Amino acid sequence: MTDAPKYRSYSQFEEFLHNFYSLSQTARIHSDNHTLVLEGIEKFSESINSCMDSDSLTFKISNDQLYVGDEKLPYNRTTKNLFDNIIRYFDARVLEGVRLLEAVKQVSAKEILAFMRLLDMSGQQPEPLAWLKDGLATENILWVELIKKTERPQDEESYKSKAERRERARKDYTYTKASVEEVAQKIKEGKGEVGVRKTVRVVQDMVTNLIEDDEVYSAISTLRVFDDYTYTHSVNVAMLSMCIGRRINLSRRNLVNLGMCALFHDLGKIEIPNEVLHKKNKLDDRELQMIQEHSLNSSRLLLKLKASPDSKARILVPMFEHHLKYDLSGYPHADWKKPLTLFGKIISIADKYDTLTSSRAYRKSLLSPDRALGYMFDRAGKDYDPVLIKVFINIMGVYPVGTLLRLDNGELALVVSSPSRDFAKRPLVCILEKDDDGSYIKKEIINLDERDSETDSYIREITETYHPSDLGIQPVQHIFSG
Amino acid sequence: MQKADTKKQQEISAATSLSDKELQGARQVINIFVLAWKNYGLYPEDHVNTKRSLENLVTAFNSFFTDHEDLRLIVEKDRLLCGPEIIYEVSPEAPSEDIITLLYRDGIKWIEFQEGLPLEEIAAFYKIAYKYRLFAEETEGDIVTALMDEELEYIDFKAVDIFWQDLMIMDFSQLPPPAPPPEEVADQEEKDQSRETEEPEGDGIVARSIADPSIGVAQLELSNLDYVTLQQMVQEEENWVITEDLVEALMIIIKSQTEQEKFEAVLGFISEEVVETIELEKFDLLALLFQSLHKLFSPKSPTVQDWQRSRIDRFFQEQSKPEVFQLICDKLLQLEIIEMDKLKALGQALIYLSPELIHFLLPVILQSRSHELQKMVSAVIVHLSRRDIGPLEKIAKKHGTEMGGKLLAILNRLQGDRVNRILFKMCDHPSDTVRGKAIKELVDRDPKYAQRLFSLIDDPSKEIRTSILAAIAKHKSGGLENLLLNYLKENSAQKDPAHILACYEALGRCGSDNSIPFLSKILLSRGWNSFMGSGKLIFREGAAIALALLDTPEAKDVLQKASKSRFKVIRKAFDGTKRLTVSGDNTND
Ligand SMILES: [Fe+2]
Ligand SMILES: [Fe+2]
Repeated sequence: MTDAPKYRSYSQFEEFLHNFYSLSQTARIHSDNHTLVLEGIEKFSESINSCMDSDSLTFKISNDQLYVGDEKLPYNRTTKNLFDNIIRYFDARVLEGVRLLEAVKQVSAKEILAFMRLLDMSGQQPEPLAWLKDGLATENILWVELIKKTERPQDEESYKSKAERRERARKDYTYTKASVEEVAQKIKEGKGEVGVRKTVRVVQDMVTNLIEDDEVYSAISTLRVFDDYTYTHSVNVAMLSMCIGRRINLSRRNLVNLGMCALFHDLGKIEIPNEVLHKKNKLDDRELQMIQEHSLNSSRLLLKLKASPDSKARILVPMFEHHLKYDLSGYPHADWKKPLTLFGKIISIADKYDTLTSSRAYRKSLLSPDRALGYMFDRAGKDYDPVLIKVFINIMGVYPVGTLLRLDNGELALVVSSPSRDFAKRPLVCILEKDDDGSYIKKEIINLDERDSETDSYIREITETYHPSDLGIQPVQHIFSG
Repeated sequence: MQKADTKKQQEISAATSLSDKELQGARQVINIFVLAWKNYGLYPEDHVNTKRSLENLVTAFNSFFTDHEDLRLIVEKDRLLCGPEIIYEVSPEAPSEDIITLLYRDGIKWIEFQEGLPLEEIAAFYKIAYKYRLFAEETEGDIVTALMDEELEYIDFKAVDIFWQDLMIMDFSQLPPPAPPPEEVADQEEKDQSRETEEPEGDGIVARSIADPSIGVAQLELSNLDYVTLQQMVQEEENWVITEDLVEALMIIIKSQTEQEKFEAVLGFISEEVVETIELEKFDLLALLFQSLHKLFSPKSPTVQDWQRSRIDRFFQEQSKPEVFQLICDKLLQLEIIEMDKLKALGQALIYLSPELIHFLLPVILQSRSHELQKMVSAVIVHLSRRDIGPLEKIAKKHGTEMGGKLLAILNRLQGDRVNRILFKMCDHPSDTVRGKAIKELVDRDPKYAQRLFSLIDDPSKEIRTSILAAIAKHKSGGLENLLLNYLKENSAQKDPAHILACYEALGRCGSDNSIPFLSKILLSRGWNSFMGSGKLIFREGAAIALALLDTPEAKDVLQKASKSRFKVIRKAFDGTKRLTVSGDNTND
């Protein structure tokens, strides 16, 4: 194994792009007066000043290369992630680039933030560029010129559109599920050591994709298949865990380990007979014991996987811990007195969320996603790590994607995007309408943040939340279409 | 010039039109690249030829990069393209060994070598390709997964999903229902039952929404402190030394396995882990693993079943394979630049292994120049030999000569008849120093052994003769007294007088009044000089000294007579005893 990579530090132009992108991300999560936002603005302004030596400063993408001014910035290990992020960010806004005029040096922090927020929100709009232009005009921001993205043939190396990213997530879901099933099947058959190359490859791929866009993975993890619970659950938990891992900046390698661990966390269940697993009635003591031994058995079965001892070692403990709570209650009731590992804490959160929001034979109605989050939040510090729970809620938003809403006009709406800034309680939804055959059809997408232009009050209010399964609705069917 | 004419290639060619010069450069680099790969398979990693061919390759890349940009190559079946041009074709003679075949097999679509590519990265690349050169169904990874993991800075690549080509992507519009049909749902009264999490789930739960006004944004927002906490958590995870947690978890897992087959599976992993820990020199983990297993399944533990215990015993036997031992000893010798912690940990681990390990450890003592290492290894050998002296016996038999003093130092710390037997053999060692020490050790253990060794009194080596006499002189012993008396009676005439004198002295120390008739005769007799050569002054002196050392009333009587003898020669012999009081009696300590 080679030494840890040595990253060089950013050049001033790279620094400028870095500050730009950081600010866009911080502003998305935090309110105007948050220290991080204020610091972000300051840094961004400073780097504008140091990079602008003429009457304007242009940064744009051309031929998949990033330019600041006339300078083409090198794409390498140090800049790779940053550049990928910026390319994706611009692309989602149909922008080739932005030109900042000299006046920017005189504007207030508030005005810079207003611009960043508009730019950010435009990504959610059906017509991002037109919307952004309108917004800039309304806010009277005159120191920005937008460079529209020119249409060009997309080769596969260039940026992926939202549809493509969804497609990729769908592939990842399919492959991941297939590979977990395959591994579980081989272990069931008792075939000695079982290879995990396929799983590692798809998880590695997923990490690459997730670093670009994690929202699509938290959205796809709303997939629920009652008859296929064990494997869909595993994939959902893996995706949610990796989203948490990504948000807290785990290294690539550890994201892969986390994904593998989460994917196989319930492997031990393959030793439990289906009658027990899916039993509708109360379990007897022996059956309950079987269920409770599964986390320990997952760890044991992990040992059969053909993976490097180091990865196994890293994965084994959190697997073992996934039903232990933050206060170390839960099971296995072994003499385990150590605080849970980070992976253990993450997976227990993802696992519980998916379990709470999944139908099981012994359970009828489900907690709506927002209530599931509320339930877990109320147990932070006891059952779950209090900081990681906040991270999780930050990722999911207060109305997680896939939450079914009843609006005050009686309409049924499904959350398709949940802005997490300030925990906005007004997500982007699609209206669902019941078809003649009883199924639901996707109608228009609406921003619940919209206000009536005359009264300035919100046009729609949320009156109730449900779990989509309660109405037989499969969120991904609607979120991943059109 | 050959052209690839797929649609894809046309697209790429449109993007990058290549000059002849660039193509020629690329061809040159790739030929060297393929050649270096062949060498990589022929010689060990650190062989001079391997190094040289890698250096050549770096030079080739560097000269390419002085004129051109990064080199991106498209991998196709049996060939490599640069832009639209085929620049390399796999030789039909041994296609499966060609590196391009391997890259294609694992789904690499293109590979790009970037300016600045250092030798280490090429070496890492070849190492990965070499590790996964053979196709295996059940494997932990392949070239692609390993390259992803390695995150090389100057080698970029793109891979396709080779495993999933036939798999239908899930169609979300065709998904089966997310929940069971209503009639399948359990009755109301069973709803609150515990399941996985031992608490009511779903129906029984009343929960407020996270959007509830009672939860303020401030409660949900990550504070600066939270960010710091998270950073620490991540830092800890990235630097996590898994050792203790892993062992503890493994112990909990293995302890709860009541079925033999499952128990076996866990042990199987632990065995793998053993080799891994030795290879990576994680000796603290190794020690902890062995200690914990040993403790967990010790006879004192009441919950352990007999079969579990005997399986663990066997486990330790199984770890004692020559390969493992050799690995340990190689590592030990590399540890010469002493890392005390590692050394100590390894020492703590090794004592759980089979005493057969001694065969490998003794040579380490001989080869190592480190005192600390020798000390640790000796301690382990002593520990292991206490469990079974067999291996040490064998080694002593075969290599006693080379081992000599080192072996003796170990034997000195061990007890038992079998150890003593080895010590007796050491008394025949070519080195007089070793023999002398062995004699001393044996007689210290049991004075009786001096009788068995008595014949050494005539040893050609003065050192040995001195040793055996010193040993004899240590304790009162009737047996030795008789042996000495006989010896003196039979041999005095032919022997070196100094030796005979020493024998008398020894007799004085180990003997009793039973010797007095003999001694008195030697000291006092007159006239018939033939008696035992006693006419010589030195023998009289010897007898006088022996009597003085006996120091009994009877002996004193005889000496009294001698002092008053009218013969000068007898009085002179008596005078010799005064030497004893002057020099002090310091031989019998
Ligand atoms: Fe579980
Ligand atoms: Fe689970």
